[in-house]
Amino acid sequence: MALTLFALVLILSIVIALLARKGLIAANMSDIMVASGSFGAFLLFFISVGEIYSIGTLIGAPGAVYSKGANYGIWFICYILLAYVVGYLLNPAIWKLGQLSKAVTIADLFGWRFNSKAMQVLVALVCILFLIPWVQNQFAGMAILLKYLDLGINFGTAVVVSALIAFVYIAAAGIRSSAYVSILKDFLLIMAVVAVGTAAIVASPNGVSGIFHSVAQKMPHMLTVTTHPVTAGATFTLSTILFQMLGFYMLPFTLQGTLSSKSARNLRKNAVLMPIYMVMFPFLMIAAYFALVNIPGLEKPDFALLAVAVQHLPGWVIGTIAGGGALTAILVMAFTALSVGGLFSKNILAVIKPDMGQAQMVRWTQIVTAVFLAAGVVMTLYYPALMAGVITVSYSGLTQTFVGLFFAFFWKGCTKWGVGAGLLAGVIYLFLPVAAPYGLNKGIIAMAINVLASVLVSLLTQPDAETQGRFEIYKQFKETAA
Amino acid sequence: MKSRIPTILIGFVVPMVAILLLFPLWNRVEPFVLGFPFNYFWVFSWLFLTSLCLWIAFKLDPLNKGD
Repeated sequence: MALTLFALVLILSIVIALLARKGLIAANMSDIMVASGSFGAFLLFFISVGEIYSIGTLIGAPGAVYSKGANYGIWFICYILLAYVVGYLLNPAIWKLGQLSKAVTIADLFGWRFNSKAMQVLVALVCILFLIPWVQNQFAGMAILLKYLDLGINFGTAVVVSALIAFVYIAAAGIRSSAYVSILKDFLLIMAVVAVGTAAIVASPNGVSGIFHSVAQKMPHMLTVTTHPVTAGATFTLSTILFQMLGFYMLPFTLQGTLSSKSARNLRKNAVLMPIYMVMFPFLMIAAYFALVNIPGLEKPDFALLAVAVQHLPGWVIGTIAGGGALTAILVMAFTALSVGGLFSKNILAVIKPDMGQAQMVRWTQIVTAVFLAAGVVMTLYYPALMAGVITVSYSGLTQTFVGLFFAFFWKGCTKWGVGAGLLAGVIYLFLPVAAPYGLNKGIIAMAINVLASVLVSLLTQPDAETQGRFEIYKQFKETAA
Repeated sequence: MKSRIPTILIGFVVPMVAILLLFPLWNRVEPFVLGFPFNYFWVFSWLFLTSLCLWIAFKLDPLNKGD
């Protein structure tokens, strides 16, 4: 029964992906990557939640709360919530720059604004490098899900099949099919979280209050963000919230989502709705804390949510949760791989070979997507990664692009040399084997170095006339377009 | 064009202050509200309040007028 439902969910997702081909007009880069900027409020909502709530929501987040408590719970909720606040102001600006530059990737924005091919390549390389942990995280989450729920599927087969399905979404109609599959995925994801949370409330003698009161009695330190002067947990939590809320819309796939909107106003409206989907977080925290007091000593903390499901829900619900969870991992794999494919073919290959046509770029995007997914399969089968901390690594690098984009919006005098040097300096610092001072998030120190280098080098160099002109064009456009 | 300052105050400054600046005040277990420790109650409330702030900001925002 569970296995049948699991398979049914995945088959349904493939049908949806293939049906989405109908909307496809011409296979060019803009259509594959950003649906030619055609998404209205409905699809924009689903693509926004579809991209960001990954298998980490079901596995990594409750797992981290189970093992480390509120330092992690508060961090996840607050950084995502505040990212929407940032997005209300930021996303329309990104979209407008995207309109002017006809961008389909984040690297296109930099390439146009700073009139530099080298800048395109640099941004693309940094993005691809730091997207690798993100896709690994999806495969690892999938592995945990399937191993724990034990639906009787061979693990190796499951990993290969999921990568194939991710490729089918991309090959069918790029971002368009992924957006439609999101509707199914996000419905199942929120149902799964609400089901497990509700099961925990029902199983606890005094409901929600009973769960949290017993945590408060047995292990009160798990309920607040620790402000211990030595471990400095609060410094890390707060600096990470501050850092990641800026990086949220810099992730190459969320930025693609922004570019797929048909208007700036649509993006602002979307920001109003985004926090509402977060109603699943109370249920998620309830389930994680329930597991903490009622199912202690799990072999891996990442099993927390699944353990509650297995103990308190019937087989058919578990099958649906497994299907929804697998779909979540596969869809985010697809979004990530598509971003990598686009960045590689348009911002690296097409720069080296300027005579590449649209059809060729689309083909290369698909080839790179396939190679990237295949590499993910091999890594997962031979080097199973850990869930915790992986997302932080991705954010540490991807958020660095915020600095350059911020200057692109507001500072006429910033130069490609400055922004490039800043980005490089930030990324190099991330690879140095030093710990950040005061228990701060390492990415935020890298960002400070990035800002410093960007400003200093920009002051020492001159932007060319074309770059300055493009700043003026953007400034004008910003005020006229809604 | 009308000023965007009210939009930015309600849609940006208010949620940022509520979550980041007031952190030392809300990072506590007691009092429990609706069964949740105070800190979780606070951030869960702000899921809805942030949406409300952004909605008001959207209505006030001069950039949304005219289409």
